[in-house]
Amino acid sequence: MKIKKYKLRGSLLTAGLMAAAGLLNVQADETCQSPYMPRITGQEDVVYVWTLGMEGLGDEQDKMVTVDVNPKSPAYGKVVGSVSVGGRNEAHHSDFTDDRKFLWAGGLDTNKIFVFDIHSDPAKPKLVKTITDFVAKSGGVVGPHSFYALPGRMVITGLSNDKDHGGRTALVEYSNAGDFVATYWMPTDPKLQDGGPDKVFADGYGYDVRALPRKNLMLTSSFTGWSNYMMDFGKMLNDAEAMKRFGNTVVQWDLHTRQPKKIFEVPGAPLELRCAWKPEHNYCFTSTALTSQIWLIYEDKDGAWQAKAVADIGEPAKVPLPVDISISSDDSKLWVNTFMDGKSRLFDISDAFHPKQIYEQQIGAQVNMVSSSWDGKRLYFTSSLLANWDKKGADNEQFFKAYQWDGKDLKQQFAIDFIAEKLGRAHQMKFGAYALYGDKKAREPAKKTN
Amino acid sequence: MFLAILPVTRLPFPAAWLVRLLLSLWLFLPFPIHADGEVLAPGYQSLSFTAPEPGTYSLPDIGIAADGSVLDAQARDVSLSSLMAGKVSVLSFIYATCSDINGCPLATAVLHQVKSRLRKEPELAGQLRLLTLSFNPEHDTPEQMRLYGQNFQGGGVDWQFLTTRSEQHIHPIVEHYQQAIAKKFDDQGRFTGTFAHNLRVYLIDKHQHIRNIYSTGFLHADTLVSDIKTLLLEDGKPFAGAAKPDSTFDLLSTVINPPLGLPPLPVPENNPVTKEKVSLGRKLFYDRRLSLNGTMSCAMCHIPDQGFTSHELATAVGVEGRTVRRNSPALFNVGYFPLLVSRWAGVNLRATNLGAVAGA
Ligand code: HEC
Repeated sequence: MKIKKYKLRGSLLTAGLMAAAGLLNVQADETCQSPYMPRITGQEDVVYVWTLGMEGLGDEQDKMVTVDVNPKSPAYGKVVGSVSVGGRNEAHHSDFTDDRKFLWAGGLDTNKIFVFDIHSDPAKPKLVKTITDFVAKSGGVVGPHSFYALPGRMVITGLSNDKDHGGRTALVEYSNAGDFVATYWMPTDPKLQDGGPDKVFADGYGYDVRALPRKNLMLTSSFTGWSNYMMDFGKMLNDAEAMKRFGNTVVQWDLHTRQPKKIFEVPGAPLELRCAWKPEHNYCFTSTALTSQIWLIYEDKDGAWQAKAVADIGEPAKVPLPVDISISSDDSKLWVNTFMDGKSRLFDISDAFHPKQIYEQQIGAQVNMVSSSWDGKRLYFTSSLLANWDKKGADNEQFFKAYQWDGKDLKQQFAIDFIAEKLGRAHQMKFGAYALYGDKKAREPAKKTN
Repeated sequence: MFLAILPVTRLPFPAAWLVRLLLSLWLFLPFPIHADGEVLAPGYQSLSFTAPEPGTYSLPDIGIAADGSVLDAQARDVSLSSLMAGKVSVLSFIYATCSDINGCPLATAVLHQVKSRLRKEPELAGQLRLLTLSFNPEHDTPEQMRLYGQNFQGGGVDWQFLTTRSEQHIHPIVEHYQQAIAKKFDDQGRFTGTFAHNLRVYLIDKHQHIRNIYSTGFLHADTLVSDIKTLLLEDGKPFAGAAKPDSTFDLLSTVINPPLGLPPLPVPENNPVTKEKVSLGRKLFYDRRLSLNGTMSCAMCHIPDQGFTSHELATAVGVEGRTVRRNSPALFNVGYFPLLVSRWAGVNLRATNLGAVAGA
């Protein structure tokens, strides 16, 4: 039989059941989570924005900013929490542990990992641990990027290494307790290359990681090393040698054994990986930053995994620089942000092999991340890509914007100017909800449950 | 009443043992399962991929499996560590009245399956112990655990059904194993007898280290058996993590006693090499503050593990990622050179070297 998501129908009875369930189940959240993580029921209450400190602005430090996004809350649309972590680290991505009690956030330059308790008070994260020896423990991995929850563990992708600070890097595994477990270097073995050992593209670069446990599949994508991501964007674009130092690969791993199986050639820095949700959909999407394409990584008829460019994003010749992507929970739509023109584009992906753009809207002078609620009705956008890559002058808009998607149009609900609020560069977003943490808050009379 | 709501005939797994198992568990259910809309976890079904061959992969050490004081089904005080000693153990946390089919019953079903598999391999079975520990000591007395476990006794693998004397005894154990468990209360604030928790099952080696953790989406008898066999194949050779070898090399003794074939190192009379200077030099070599904007150390271009050059790059990358015209040369034996780069570039060391560090 086919395995469906572990989904219970939303009713009072199941609310009771969910309490008892091995998984605190379902119905609404951003759609890029680890598939076996508790998910939010109904409306998300807060969004955590991992924000880069900016010189000359506020306390200049990186911070975890909490925005209230529940329209029924009196603080709707407001910043309700901000935890500064001391200094600037090139804050980038964050994600939850499998029990969703802690949020891990990384710094690409200082290699620090900040662990926030988000279950004690979801609106007010508490910094409970800072891992400062990631490079030494991992055997030289630099730039902790994606955090991906596996049972009792976090898988962390690196972007670089402490030898040449280029793109060669590894996957690093930590226990939820914050202890180093293992390092798996990105493969460069020519024999693993799709198309055979005579090809020359295996680069050993890293960026994002996603898994399909039912297929025992783990995928990693590839970006660039410290020497580029800490470089001035304009200078880098004009430096031919530097432009050669971008990843061109997606790697298929055996999830259970963490052994690399196959290296796909996906030119132009494939970034975010997003896997389809439906059990019969054995595929994942990625988009390439420099070549502006949507790629499909899919299982073919014979059970082998393949990679294929399936659509262009905007006009690739103009280098719109696709950044974050977000897949809808029914696998029918894919939001794609392009940094340079500040646009979000919606692709119909109901035929995964032929995505078609059906909508676009300008979000700001620059846009990076997009996060969607589970029902696809609420979308959130932020502006910052990397401190040295963000636009300069007036175009350096830094914001968090909330939109409603009615199936035809994106309508802005509210926006927070992160410069006016003296917060910094708004980067990655994660959702939080009181209902996830048992009845503590839910029992309070004021608290609604959806 | 609840059996009518969850008709056996609608269950998609015909295996008699599993039905029997589930029936035995249902006896403890406090309220009906509304099965509609719920889908069974992979552990109840055949694995949709081939489990890896035992011994072809390694299971890293995830941390120490904590000890704790528990009660066995005969109400005897035992320590978890004594139960784990010398065996590979599989530890699952449950509560007997757990009604979520993809929660505790799944763990018990999969452990039961592992036990049946190993029945044909008695040498392996003798080295394994299954531990099912309740986190609800108020309800789950040793007698309750004995009843819960009685259907799974006999044949091959030893399976212990455990509880604790009190909540104070179970609390530190679930903390150590990071089992998120919360009592559920009703609107009036009364304990409903149910818990919110994430299913976790732990694979523990003979040295009491956690080697794998499984949750609902991952728990399956096929992979669990592969992992158990992988641990048993290790036999005293536990997995060594990717720890970096300690690369501090005794430079002072090399200066005093150069390796065979090398002449004595020229050392200025007024500036002898000392242990302190060697260690200061090493610190400076790794200090990022030496560059224009505090980002680059010598070691980032002259990479010690790569012979003090960079194997990966055609030309060195300098401050702000700018590409330098030449690659960083190896620094082996530079102590013997009267002149540095100028040997081959015809330029003065001071200028080029500073150029590489500051302007590169
Ligand atoms: C940005 C990369 C970079 C950094 C950082 C760097 N170097 Fe170099 N180094 C080079 C390059 C490139 C050359 C060759 C210069 C040339 O050919 O013009 C060089 C040359 C040298 C040489 C001469 C080697 C010979 O064979 O003549 C020495 C010695 C040296 N560097 C030591 C250092 C020390 C000590 C530091 C730290 C204070 C340092 N370097 C930092 C790139 C770098």
